[in-house]
Amino acid sequence: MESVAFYSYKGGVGRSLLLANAARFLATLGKGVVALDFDFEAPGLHYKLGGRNGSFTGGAVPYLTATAEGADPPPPLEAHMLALPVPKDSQGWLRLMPAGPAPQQTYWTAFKEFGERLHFADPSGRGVMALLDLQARIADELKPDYLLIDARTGVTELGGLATTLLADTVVCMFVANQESLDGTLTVVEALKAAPRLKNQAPIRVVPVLARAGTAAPDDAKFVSGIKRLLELGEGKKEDNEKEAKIFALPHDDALGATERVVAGEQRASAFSPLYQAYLELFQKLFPTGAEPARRVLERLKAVADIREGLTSSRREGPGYDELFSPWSPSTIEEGVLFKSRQYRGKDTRYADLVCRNEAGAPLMLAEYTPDDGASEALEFWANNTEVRCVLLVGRSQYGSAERHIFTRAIGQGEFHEAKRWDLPRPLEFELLRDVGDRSVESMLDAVRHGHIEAVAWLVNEWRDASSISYGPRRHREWQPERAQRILDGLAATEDLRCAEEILRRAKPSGYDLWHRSRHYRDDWDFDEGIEGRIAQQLFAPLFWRLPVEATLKSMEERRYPGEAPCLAGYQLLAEGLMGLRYDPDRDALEESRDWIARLPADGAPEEEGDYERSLMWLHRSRRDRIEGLRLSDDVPPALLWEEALREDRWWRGTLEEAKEKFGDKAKKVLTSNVSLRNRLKAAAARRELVTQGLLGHCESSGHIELYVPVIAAAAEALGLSSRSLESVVFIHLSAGALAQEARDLDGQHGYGFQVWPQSGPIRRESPAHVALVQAFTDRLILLLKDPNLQAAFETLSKHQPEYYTGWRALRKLPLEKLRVLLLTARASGSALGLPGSGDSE
Amino acid sequence: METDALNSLVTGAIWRAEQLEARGISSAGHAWAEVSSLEEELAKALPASGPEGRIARRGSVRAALKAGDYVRASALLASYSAEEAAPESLKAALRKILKEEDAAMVSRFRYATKQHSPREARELARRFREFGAFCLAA
Repeated sequence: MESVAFYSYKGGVGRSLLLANAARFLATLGKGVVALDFDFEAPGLHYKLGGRNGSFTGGAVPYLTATAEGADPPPPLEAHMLALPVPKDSQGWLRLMPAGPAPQQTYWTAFKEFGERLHFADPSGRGVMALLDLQARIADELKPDYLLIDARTGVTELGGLATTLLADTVVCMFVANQESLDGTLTVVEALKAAPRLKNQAPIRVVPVLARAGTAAPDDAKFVSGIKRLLELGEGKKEDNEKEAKIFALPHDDALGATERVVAGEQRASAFSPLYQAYLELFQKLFPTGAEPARRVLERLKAVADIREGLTSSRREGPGYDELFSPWSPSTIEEGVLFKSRQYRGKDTRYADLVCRNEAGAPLMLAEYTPDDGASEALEFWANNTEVRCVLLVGRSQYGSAERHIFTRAIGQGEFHEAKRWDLPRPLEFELLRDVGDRSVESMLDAVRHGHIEAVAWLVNEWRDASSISYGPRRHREWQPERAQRILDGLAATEDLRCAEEILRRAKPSGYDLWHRSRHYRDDWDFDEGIEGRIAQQLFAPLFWRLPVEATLKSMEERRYPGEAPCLAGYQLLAEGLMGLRYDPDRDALEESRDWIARLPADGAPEEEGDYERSLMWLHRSRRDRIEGLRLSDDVPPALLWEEALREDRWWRGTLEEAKEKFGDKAKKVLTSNVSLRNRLKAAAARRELVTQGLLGHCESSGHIELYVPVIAAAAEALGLSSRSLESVVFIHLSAGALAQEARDLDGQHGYGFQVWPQSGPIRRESPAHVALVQAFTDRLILLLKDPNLQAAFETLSKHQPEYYTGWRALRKLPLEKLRVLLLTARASGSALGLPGSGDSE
Repeated sequence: METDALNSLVTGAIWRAEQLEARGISSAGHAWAEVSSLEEELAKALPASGPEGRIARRGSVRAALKAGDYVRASALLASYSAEEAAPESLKAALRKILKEEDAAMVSRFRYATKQHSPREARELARRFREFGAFCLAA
């Protein structure tokens, strides 16, 4: 039996708590431990270790009193000890001999009598013998491995005997002030010089600095005091350090306040710097427990690290918060014993951490397997649980912790090692069939299943894989094929919410850029030009390829008041293909300037309010231009005219009059799927499926309407997807609008370009202009490399008037030639630059 | 002081010490120390060769032990044994008293005495008594 006394010159240093932790730790390791509370004036070890009930009347004070009175036979030890619980799987045991039934009155009465009857320095030697007898009896009857003694604070008779007479090792605790250090040094000097019994080895002293803060006093006196303590006692020596350091227990608010005993806890949540310091100290204090302590420390560190990783946020990139939101601590269970479904020699297995979903089903578990038991572990988890991910934490050949992530798809039996290093997050289990497979295809599959959260990841992956983020200081390789796969996958999204999210994420913004520059710090050069490239290469193609509803939403969305929508899609068509400039903001500004300049000299704004009104006009004008797209279920003009002419072959009137007179009938046709489809089938057969006026409508102001029911019926009639046909119509009408709206290098609008100069029963589309619009529609679809759009465009044009197929011939022309044709078509009297002819009003 | 007076005092002191001891009153030790002193005074007044002198000497040593003062008892034993007039029977009787005390210690502290002798314990106790806790006054 080894006796270890815990002493402190001053109180309140956490002495009893350290003893309680040591006792629990040793018991957990399978050792037999007896803890003695010799702090008779302020007993409290039973508060830390627990186990006492109200009927208990024993303890060291009653026992020693009885012994001193010569009780024969001596009182039974068991009546004065408490058996404390230890973990089930531990072979150890723990007994506490408290001072007595404190704080009950009976204790203080007994203590008073004890003081009168037993004097430890009694020259008869009975006092000394009483203590030695207790110690010898414990060793003889209980045969513990360790006797841990809580010695009285300060310089007292009992404190002196407990340390110098009974202890093999004395832990001397002090705090970081000169008073505490000086007193401790005095006592340690005395301990080393104290007389010992014949068969006792010299006292071993281990000084421990308690409640250590970040900085200890560094004045020479304090430092030399510590040095002297280390000369007399033992310190902590790291492998690579020449000099030993004092053992220090860091201050821990939580544990200090609750006085919770953590030793023996295998749960990572119990791990703390203080617990770590305890374990390091125990390695020194209890050499037979050093190796287990080292293993426990290693395990706790590794598992705590995993737990920390699971529960803490990390920034992967802009907008990743949701996808990579950490596990809530309440969803992580620690120390779970799983039972085998079939007995195979080992019927249970311990999981250090188990992550569950909201319903409580285990999704992932972590097991610390320092030895080479991975295959056995995986077999058990595969056969006995439904978890989809297993983290095996082991030791590398260099002694550091390393983890391996094994995953399996839903419904799969075997685990395979995942090619990922980061810990799977809860949402990934919803998104992915196999959390080990975080490939582009898996993420796109998640988007296809409506998991909006995968969008941010994909967009970020696109940025990394595309040339956008390729630079000398980037570690990721340029992967154009991967970028294209992501783009195509995103563009194929059917789910409207996901499509809106894609455009939202793909939309370049200074905010995201700022975050990225912060995230990547050194390896990301803040480059404003990047925004334009993202707009051009990611947003613009998606703008045209995603469902028009999503595009429309992206135009409407405002993240902050006054935010202008991203016009990259229009600009790709206008500037990238048509050779025109499309910048409504700039146009609106110029128009505003013109307007102000045209005011008479004496009509200049007299008040600030006038100027503000002009700015509001500017803003409204810009908004009108930008929001000029609507999905409509109105009756298209062509259908209205057709209905009018059916009723009255000679009818003449305006569109408004036709709407008033034949609107209801036309509406009936529109709402009847069969008749609408039949009408459209007939129109298709006659090659009269015109875009303008039937499938959509573009006003001279540039406002575009898509007649959704008509497009849907036409798509059905032609065997096309409604979504693709909508996009084709949208592109066609946009190209027509831009051909007129966008400005050339001279800043002129295309006033001469009027595909649809009039609306009336006799359509007078300009065949040449329509052919040009179709040509640019074709060029854009080719650029987008979208086979669905391509098929829809080609099929539709086969059922449209002959001039709609002009794009086939025009495809052979170089783009530059096409642009020249467009400029020519745009030219008119008002666009020739004659004085006063450019007035839009 | 006359021996009669001392005898009266001793008788009274013994009765008092026994009463205190029987009632478990802590000052019994002091009472026995008083008995030992009175017996010592009687021993000074009575020769070791006479029966009363022998009784006083034995009483002095026994009372010192009752008072828990083994050191004093040992010192008295040494002193009385050194007297020229002390018969061998007295010396043997005094040694026996101390042996009985040791035996009582062994019986009472049967676990400790397997490893440590009462003498050792007494020596340690003496040092603590002399130099205080942790022997800091040494």
